[in-house]
Amino acid sequence: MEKVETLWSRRLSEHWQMTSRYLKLLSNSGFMFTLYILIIGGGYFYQQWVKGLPTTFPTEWILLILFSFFIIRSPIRTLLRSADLVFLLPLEDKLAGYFKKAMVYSFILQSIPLIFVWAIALPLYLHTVDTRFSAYGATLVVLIIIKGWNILCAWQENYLLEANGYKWARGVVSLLFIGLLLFEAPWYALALLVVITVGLTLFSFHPLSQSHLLKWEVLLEIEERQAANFDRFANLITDVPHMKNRIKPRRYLNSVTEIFSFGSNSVFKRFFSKTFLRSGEYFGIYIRLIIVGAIVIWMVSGELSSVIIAVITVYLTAMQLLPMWSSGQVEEGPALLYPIPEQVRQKNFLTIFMFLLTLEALLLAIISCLVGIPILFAFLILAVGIVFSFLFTYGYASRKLHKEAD
Amino acid sequence: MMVEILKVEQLSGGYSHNKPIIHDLSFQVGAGELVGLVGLNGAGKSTTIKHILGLMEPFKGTIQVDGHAIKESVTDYRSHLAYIPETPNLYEQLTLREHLEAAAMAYGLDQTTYEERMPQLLSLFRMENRLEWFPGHFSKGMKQKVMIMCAFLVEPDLYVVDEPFVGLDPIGIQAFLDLMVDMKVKGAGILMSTHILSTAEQYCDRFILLHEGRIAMQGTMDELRESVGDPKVSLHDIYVSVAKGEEPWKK
Repeated sequence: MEKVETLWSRRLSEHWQMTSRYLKLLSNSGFMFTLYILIIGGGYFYQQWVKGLPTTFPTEWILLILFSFFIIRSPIRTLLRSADLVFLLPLEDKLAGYFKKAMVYSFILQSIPLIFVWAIALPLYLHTVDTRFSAYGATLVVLIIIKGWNILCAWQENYLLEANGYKWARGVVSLLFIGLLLFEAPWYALALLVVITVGLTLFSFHPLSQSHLLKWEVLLEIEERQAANFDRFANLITDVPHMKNRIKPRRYLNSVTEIFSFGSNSVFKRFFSKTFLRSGEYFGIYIRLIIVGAIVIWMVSGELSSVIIAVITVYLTAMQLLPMWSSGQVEEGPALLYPIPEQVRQKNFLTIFMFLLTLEALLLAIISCLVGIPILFAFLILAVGIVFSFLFTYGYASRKLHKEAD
Repeated sequence: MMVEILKVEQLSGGYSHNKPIIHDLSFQVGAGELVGLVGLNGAGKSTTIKHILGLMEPFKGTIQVDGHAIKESVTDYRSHLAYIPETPNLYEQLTLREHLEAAAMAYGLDQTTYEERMPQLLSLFRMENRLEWFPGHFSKGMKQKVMIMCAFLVEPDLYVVDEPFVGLDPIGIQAFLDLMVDMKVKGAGILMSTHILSTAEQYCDRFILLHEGRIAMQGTMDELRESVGDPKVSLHDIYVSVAKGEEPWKK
């Protein structure tokens, strides 16, 4: 029987073993290389950019938003697993140490991006807000303290099922604090806020753990959501087998999927169109890629280049949507036994797939028109986009599905 | 002569050829018949069911549903049967209504029939208000009700049911039993695996007692009683005796 005291360190090492495996894959992929280039190149342009800024630039407001985001968002990683609801529940009293370590871990982990943002903004701050480094250094110390306070309060919130009121209070206080700090408010304003914060902590947040029960399911949900966030990130590079998809109902799009007639030939058209709209991030990725493609077309504003960019966008989308075939988990549900031949399933999937790519090409063509690309080239985008979609769908994708089926 | 909906002959199968899990099973399910498949955990019930569904390939023997073998046409074979699994698997991204709709469409129901049957099933299982819900918000029992509704919506010739009672509320159990009786009258065959022997004894027409992958006994309750030579013995007692390996029919 394992001791409760060593549970945290074992969970943590298991967690990092898993995580580092994905991080290793990540660092070996082209992704890291792209990131280095971005950092080096971006750093140079950033320096140049800062030098040219007037001192009236609203750095304070930008930093307020950035710091607030990284400070107020304080989900605690407990590394709990669903089985713990059965096996650890009776040990809740003995788990105080475990949860304390979880809080410290979350605090350290979440302070790292905060410090990064602080460091990146250093030249900006010195140039446009205050030339004294000591002022900005002191800011960091206070930011870290506020982060710690947020973690402590976020833990107390876990004793409630509905903690929105408390979350708002914590958010507003943090926001005020960071704001006063950045705008260099007089000391008594800060002192007053400290008093309010201490009062809030002692009389509102602290009593929660005294008068309520720990909500294990809330803890588990927070943990699973964070794990899922990482999985989704890793899934961009490699296949994460245990990934759980969250569902977004998007009921306002329901009618779109009802256009397919009632009958066995439409089962999988409806199935995949609903999977696309609701499951995982397919719809989100689709929209985001269109936006990115549109922005790049607009920025480059070339004629032939806009056609190339559009095709690349369609290609990237196609690669992101292709896993929908398997990750709809058709084979794990009732559809496994549906009396519908494999060829019909594949055909239905490819119909939806082709439609989405063609629609994307059309949208990109329209957007190009709007941002001033000559209409002839907009038509070219549409035509080349459709040809590419067709070749990708019925050449590459179709063969890939066949191979998987065997 | 009774019409045979399901006909299993000398079926042997399992995951590895060296270690078959089921040996030489032969049995039938006739039209209008509810047959109970009874056995301990690991007796081979699920393996038998997987072979019938065509999820596993037999090493030996044949299976026919309505005279069709799966080798002739998977689609044709499967269109004659519906399966209610022990662990309900639903699609996270589809609502209850969409699950029912997909099943109706997949099994070739016309829209009028679907719209006629759906509300009846919903009210039987008290799920009218859940039509637009996603399974993420369902309890295990509710998910099971969805699977049951999908099967009875289709009204196939053969129902294959795996341990339906665990997790269902009493209303659900009663609705399910009533539906099975209805479908029997309409001429369907039902193969049901279960551990709830008192209910099985009350509702099943015949029983197949599996023990270590072989059929230890099969027949109606009277036939079973006759073979153990005790006119009053319950299914429970026979089952326990078989499960202990006592070979009660030799007494």
